[in-house]
Amino acid sequence: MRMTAPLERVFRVFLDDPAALRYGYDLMKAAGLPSGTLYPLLARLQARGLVVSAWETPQHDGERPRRYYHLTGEGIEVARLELAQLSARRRRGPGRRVRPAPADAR
Amino acid sequence: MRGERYALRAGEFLVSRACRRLPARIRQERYQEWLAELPVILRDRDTGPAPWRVVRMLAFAADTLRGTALAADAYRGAHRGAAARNTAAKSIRWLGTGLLLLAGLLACALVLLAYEGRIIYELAVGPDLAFSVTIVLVNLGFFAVGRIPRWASPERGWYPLSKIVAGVGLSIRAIAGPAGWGHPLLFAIISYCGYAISVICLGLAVIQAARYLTRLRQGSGVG
Repeated sequence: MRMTAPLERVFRVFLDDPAALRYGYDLMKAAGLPSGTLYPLLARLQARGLVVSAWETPQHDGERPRRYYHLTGEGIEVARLELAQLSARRRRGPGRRVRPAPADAR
Repeated sequence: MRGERYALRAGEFLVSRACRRLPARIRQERYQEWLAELPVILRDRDTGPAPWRVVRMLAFAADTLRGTALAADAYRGAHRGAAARNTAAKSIRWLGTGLLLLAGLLACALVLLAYEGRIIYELAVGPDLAFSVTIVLVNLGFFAVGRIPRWASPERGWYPLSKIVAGVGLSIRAIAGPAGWGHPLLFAIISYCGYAISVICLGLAVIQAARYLTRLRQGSGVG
């Protein structure tokens, strides 16, 4: 899977707390990505078995169930590996340029 | 929140349009997922004041449309590049749509500028009856719309009212001039005053908008 800036951001958000269940909107806010970028990315990660999703049970009447996402075991491994490789590439010097995620930029 | 139902409906419409591009087997699922996020965004007080939340919610919904248009393959379970051949053509189509929208906005701005310029010209040089009556009729229309209870607010009436005064002043000037009755200066003063009030209204609106944007920036911690 090609490491892109949005993918890097999403991996970082997931790895902040791998056990946390993340809704699409929460991921959008945390990763700073628009919905049109985030959801196709999540769909690709799901297709590769790196992310799984499930529907929550609504807590109030009339509330719509929301879908949450989290990394699978394989997803956690792949994400850590990809981010480590990316950091190593950045340390080595200019190679393929990937715009850093906001956490890195700070 | 006032108007929440209508904002949600607009968002639902955009999401439903986005889902039409998806394969049938996942369409309903995605529709439910995105629909469930809309009220959450609308009630997310961390985002900022209510109008900004509405904008964010609509942006969310509109961007799902972009996402399904540009990356429909992702939802089919395909990997990047599997059917990326279409992506360039789709990007160009979206770019074209964006340019068209921009051109439309520019055209609207030009029409408004031309309209204001023509009013100033009429005030300075001498009124044309047909145009003066048009000013009155157009602004009567705006005024009537502003009286609809859902959109009514006292300050919103001032702008069309001032333009009506300016238009009436110009119309009377156009009639009175050739007929030789009344004092042309009086009608000129009425139309100048009307237009001056409308300029003040516009200025106040700009100041309010600037203040609102400043508050928004401070509220969201940007800048």
